Amino acid sequence: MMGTPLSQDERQLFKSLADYLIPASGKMPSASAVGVHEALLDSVLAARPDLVDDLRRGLDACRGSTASEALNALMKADGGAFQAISLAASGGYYMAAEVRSALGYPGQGEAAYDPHDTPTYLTNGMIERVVRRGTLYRPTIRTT
Amino acid sequence: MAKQAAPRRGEEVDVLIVGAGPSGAVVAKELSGAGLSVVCLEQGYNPDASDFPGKDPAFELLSQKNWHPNPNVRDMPRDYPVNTDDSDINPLMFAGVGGSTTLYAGHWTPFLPSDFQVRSQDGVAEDWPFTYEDLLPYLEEVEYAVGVSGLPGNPAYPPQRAFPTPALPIGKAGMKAAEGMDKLGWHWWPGTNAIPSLAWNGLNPCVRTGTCMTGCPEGAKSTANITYWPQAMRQGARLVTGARVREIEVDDRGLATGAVYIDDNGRERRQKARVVILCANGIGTPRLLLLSKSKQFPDGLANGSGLVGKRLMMHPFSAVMGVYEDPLDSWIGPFGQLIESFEFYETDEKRGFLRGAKWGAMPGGGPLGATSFVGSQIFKGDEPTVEDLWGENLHQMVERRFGHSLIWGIIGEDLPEEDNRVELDPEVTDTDGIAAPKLIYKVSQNSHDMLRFHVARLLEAVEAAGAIETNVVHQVPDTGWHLIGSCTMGNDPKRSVVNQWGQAHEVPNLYLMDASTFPTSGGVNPTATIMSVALRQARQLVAERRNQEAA
Repeated sequence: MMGTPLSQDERQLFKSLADYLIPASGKMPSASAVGVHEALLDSVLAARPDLVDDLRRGLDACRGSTASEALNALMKADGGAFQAISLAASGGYYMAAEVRSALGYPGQGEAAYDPHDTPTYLTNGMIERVVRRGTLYRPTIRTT
Repeated sequence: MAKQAAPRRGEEVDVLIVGAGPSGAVVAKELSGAGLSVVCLEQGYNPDASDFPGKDPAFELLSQKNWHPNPNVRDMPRDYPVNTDDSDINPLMFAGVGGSTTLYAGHWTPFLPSDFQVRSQDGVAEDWPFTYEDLLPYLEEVEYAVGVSGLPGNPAYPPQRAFPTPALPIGKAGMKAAEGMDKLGWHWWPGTNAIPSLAWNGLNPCVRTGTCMTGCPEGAKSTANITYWPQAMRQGARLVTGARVREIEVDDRGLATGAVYIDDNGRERRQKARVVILCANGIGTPRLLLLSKSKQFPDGLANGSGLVGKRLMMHPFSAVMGVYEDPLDSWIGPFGQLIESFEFYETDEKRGFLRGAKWGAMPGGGPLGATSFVGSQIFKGDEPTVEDLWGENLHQMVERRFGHSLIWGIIGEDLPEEDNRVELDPEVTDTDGIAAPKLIYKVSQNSHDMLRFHVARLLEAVEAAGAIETNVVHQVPDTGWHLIGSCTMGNDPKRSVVNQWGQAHEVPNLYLMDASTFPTSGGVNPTATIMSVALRQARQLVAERRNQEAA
């Protein structure tokens, strides 16, 4: 990826927009509290360098207005740029360890099981009821 | 097992296969095992499981671009672009060894008996030149190579041999989906998947990472690069990757002589063969035939019927999400169908449409996925505002949906129509300058009505299980996983491109052994049937090898 693609000025603007999109709420931290404008933004853009141009164009369009005015105008006028800003914010946010912990999300990992365990549906009658209702398929029509 | 040295580059071989996906792999293993010399040209590469993004924290972001199933979105050099300006659905595929199974969900749902007799049973489309029972022995054999997991005895299907590995856990999400079906007295069954629960034929057992659709980093999803190609290569088949075929050549008698391809370094090469077999999917195969124009075949190779490229079917798709109060841990895999249903699969004319659909329940996915639904963000009202989806509403939505949702996907039968077709684009090309395909495809009224009916029934099912929120996406564009029927098979050369053995009516040493030849599409995920038909056809080619006409 291309060094540091965004200037500090751009990062600060992104920070304010990201906090409007993802404010603190209850147990959930705000976007800037977990650093979506810092290392997480670098991680997002390393994974998705295709977002850089749209993100930068969106940030340029959002200068000089309140976050709500700017983002609503951007969503209507330039969906690609709005998508880049919102995806960079949410994509980074849900990668943050604090956020995943607050959600109870361990990430995509192994979930152990015993393939030889007897599933509940075999013992509680659920599958038996399906079988008792009989076949559903239409058999092959045989021609002589 | 036959063993022989792999053919040298440029050496004429018994058989050239184009495409190393599931059908090409089955054919390569079968023919090389019978002692034939085999070369396969594959435009992509052999995927490396360590490249798959499932364990990357940015997994969800990567799945939306670099590992997106739409080649136009992914836009990688080995992908060819597809002009979809005139198509309601975007085709999804992957260029590489294993083909689109690299990114498929592994739903293992063979066609049912009525799928082979749509004309006889429902008065539309055509019957296949063979029956479910003709194919069953090949299906059972393929299921053992693939390592299918499932519970035997599904009353949606005729009796058959048990699956080689036990069913995967259906998890809390699958049980919740099953609760609704149970209350309504509707059919459901634990999902049958091309994902083994035990180590099998080079595959590791599934550990439910839940990232099946961006390539399985555990090597536990059944893909032909693991289950078929190693043996084919041990038997002497030569697999050439990074080889993009431009044309199938013919001699003065109109027999195929081999292929011209562009290699990894941009050099044009020629592979000669006594028999040519195309396994390039329902878009790639007609594209290649249309590219192969000659004095004998001015409208494209084997296109005397005019049907090359026509009758494309792509399975229009809708989905229903159910959100529940109970925690469902719905980021856990497989992804993969947890449970399936064929309750409304067969035709009931009172519903106002013909044929039906299979349902498959899948988990809801990660938190970023919870902010959208099958790629579509859900806004309130006709004039959405940022605040509808973001701010406090974002937190509430993720809190409500994440880990608490399941998604039912509807695969509805797409009936063949000649206007739905693959052509060559006059302007767009791939990176080797070869004309790209252009799709002309409209979702039919029958499909539209079918999906509406199934969505309504599924809403009843998820609500019967106690859903606190439901969402529907109808006819999602990025769902053309199943590329079927553009070079149909049949007994009449005027009404079909190939016979039941995949042999072109006009070119006796040219075969098509992929889903392009399917006369109808079924209402199920087609990989099981693709591989079974390919095995049946390859075995026939071996049996008739001494009678095979060749250039």
